[in-house]
Amino acid sequence: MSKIQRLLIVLAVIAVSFVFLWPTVSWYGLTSKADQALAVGSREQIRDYSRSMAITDLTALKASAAAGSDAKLDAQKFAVDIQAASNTYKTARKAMPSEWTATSALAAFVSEKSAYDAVENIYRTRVLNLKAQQKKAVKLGLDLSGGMSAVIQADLDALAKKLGHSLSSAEKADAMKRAIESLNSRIDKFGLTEPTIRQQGDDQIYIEVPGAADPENINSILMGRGKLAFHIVDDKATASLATYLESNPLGVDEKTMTVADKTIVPAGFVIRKFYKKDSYGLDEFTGKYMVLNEVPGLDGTHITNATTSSDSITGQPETNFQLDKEGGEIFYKMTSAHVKETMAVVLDDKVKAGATISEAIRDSVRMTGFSADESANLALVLRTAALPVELAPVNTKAVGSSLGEDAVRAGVMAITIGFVLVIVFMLLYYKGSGINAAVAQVVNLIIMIGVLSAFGLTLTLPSIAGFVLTIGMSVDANVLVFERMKEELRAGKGRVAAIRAGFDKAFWTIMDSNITTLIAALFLAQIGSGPIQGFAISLSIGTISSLFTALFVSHLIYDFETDVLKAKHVSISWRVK
Amino acid sequence: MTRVINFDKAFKFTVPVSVVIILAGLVGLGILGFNNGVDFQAGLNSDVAFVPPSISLSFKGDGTMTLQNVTKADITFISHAPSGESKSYTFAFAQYPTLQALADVFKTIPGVSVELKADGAVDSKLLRGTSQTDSQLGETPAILHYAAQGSQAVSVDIEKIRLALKSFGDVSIQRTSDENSHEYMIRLQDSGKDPEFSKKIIPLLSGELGKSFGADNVLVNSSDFVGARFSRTLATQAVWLTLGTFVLILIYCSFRFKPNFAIGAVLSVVHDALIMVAFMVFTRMEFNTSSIAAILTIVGYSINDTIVIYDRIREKIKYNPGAPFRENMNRGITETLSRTFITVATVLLAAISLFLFTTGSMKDFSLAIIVGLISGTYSSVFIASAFVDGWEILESKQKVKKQAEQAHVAMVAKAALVAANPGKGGKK
Repeated sequence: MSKIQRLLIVLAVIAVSFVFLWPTVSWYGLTSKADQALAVGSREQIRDYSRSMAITDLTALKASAAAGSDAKLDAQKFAVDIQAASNTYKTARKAMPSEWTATSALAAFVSEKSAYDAVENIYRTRVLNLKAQQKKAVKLGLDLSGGMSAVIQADLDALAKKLGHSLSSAEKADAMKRAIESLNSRIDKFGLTEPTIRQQGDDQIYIEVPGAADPENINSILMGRGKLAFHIVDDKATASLATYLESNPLGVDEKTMTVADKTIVPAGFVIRKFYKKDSYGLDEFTGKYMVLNEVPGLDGTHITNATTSSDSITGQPETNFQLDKEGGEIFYKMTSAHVKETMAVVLDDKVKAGATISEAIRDSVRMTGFSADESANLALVLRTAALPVELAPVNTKAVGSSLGEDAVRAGVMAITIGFVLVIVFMLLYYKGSGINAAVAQVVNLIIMIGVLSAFGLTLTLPSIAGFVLTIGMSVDANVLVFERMKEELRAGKGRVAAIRAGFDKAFWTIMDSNITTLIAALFLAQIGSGPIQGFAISLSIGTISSLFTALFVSHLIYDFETDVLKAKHVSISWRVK
Repeated sequence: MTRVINFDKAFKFTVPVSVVIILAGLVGLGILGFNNGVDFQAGLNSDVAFVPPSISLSFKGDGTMTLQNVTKADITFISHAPSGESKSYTFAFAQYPTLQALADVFKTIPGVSVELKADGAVDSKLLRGTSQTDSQLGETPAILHYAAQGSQAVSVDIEKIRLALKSFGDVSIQRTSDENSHEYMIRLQDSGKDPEFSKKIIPLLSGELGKSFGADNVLVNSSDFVGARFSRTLATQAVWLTLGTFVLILIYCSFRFKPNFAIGAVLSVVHDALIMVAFMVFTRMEFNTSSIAAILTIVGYSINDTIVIYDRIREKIKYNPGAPFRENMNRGITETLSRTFITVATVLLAAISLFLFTTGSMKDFSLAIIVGLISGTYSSVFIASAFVDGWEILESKQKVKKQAEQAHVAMVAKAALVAANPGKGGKK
């Protein structure tokens, strides 16, 4: 391989590492705390934010245009609106106004609605881009960011006892889905950050809520049983609420779930949000509100089972559920009184589905008009009430965010000082070759963090320790080569021959010793979940990348010195010349 | 060529010393057991600070106001206005040096009302957060604390905490930092009798502490609950994976070297693991997941170190096949000695910097690593090679013995005596 090719490979590796590293640098270094707080919020919060920003801006612009103001717009305050207007001018291929005033900006749009959409879109895109960047950045573990996590055990044995037979693997999987579903609807009530919730192993669920550090929250998540009920919807009020919201997009006060216009919602009725599953299986607000009867028509505890099937003639998916005898009576009374009205399925104050009642029904109910996915989800929601799964925490952890911040500072300090000490030692001991080792270690560090970013790994305190120690250990490969070179120089070889022999002779030693270390590191990565894994992964990445830097990068630097700088000797020791 | 050091001379001291330390460690482990941390013992670990209130904050207004965090250098709030706009307020303690100055500047945040609950002249660096960090401020005041000194401090010590928590049965209490910061690690064991333990214990703990020390004086910084099932899984997993690591290293080394080298390498790594176990048992260091990580890191490091030395011995044997093993061994260890020192020095530098800058379990972790590094380096030189050396001697003895049996000649027995001590002959 020619030297140019080798240089290109090294540069390419460094460049790729930087590309992976960039989101991390930009997120932690260049994003303001307020923007970070926005971007870690749920999509719902982001939508609310962009909507209200758009409304505030446009209200101000309209007021100013109505007053006939010719004043130039504040370029900073209305940056988004000016951008939206100029985009519209551009796509319409119209000439830009010479000066941005409220009137000229609003004139860009054909209607108020399109102005609103354009401005909202820019606001939303900006935050979503930040969110995408955060997803790509190295994540901080709970011990560094603060927050809480819990491993929750689903009691499948109790469920098996209740059913009277041992669970098949499909039944187990369904039970876990139900348990996650029932947690899902409660967990996003906490904090301003997006929670993580996923199945772990066969019968455990892992929950993580960054930022919020109140361990009692976990209990309230577990204690509150998912409450399922059927409510009759006031279709008229729902429609008039929708009309009202078109002109007042933020009309619903999220805290009290009321609107300012008291005539819309009749007494005894409440507003609830309508949710669908997003692509991650998490609840996502559809933007639709429903006005429901405050008193549930039927409690979910009457459900005995729920399944999905498809219509034998049309092939349309349908959800079927059965009620117990008492439930059937109540359901019959309710449905006969409300034929042609909508009935909502509500889980923990969230509307999960709405269906029109076609006729009076007793205990065996068929719901149609959903897609296959929606139908399956609905059956799952109904089964959470029919076959609840008992949950108990196996492990909970809450870390105050201040502790986390101090830990990050201590960790960064340890890495910096450790790194500097190692480099200074190498420079003092190996003189000129120490520079070579220093460059190799800097490249090593960049690759390590770059790979960590690329795999979306989570940085924890133990993984910081892993970095510090890996730096210390990976210098070993350089040391092996340097010591060999010294021997060759002592034996009287010249620069080029000593360098070649040094690398050749050290090659297998380095390979053997690093492969055995890698075996230990990879085994370490299998233990448990959190802290050890983070540490072991740092160690593994570091071991592999140090092979590259010590054998490839370092060799290239020597060749560069020989060919370009015309070096005749090797500066490697105070004694060997 | 530099002078060859006769390492084999040291073997008759090093091997017994290691054996004694390891046996003592194992006996200690049998009698005392590990000081199991929360990971290996079902229960609750809480990091509690006994600090009086400094400033109480409430928020009344549109939108939300969140106390993001309180670090050693600053305090940050984030507000979300109903218009959707969010804003962050960070106040550095360097700029607002006293609690009074902080209280005054908090008042400038729209909607926030402030009540100073401590001496306004107190240094703002002593400010601590609330129990519910990242908490949303509301009309009920959230209380910030401060690490009071001297007469202002909460009167607390381990005995008083123990008294306050006597209804909990087996409680272990440890001071986690210097006396003046009043921070304690409190561990309550889960006996498994109460299935609701995990749900009830946290509010119960802060309630009991609040009764004795004043509810406003107790700040729970972190808590960590581990159920019995979790700790059992972790322990068995760790043991199996460690054994798996040894087996794989054994296979790889048998393949790359000779089986006796492989056994020697694994023995030296097991030696380091056991030395660290002895260290943890006798210092009563808390044994948790980080301790396992520390042991396995040293396994990784020590095997690396051993392989480098083996590699050089193998090279010496290749170039000098006729010489006795002991001579080649001494030469190999001597030639790699400077590398051994430099490498351990660089890793030690890293480990020491980790030790100096971290606290709590990471400090213990780095201390265990430092001990392991020393043991790992020592065992690569004195234990791994000692085993191969012993093996080679036994092998040659047996070879000679066989010959002796076949020939039944008294002279051969004499030759065996010479062959068994090639060190004397190999001396230069």
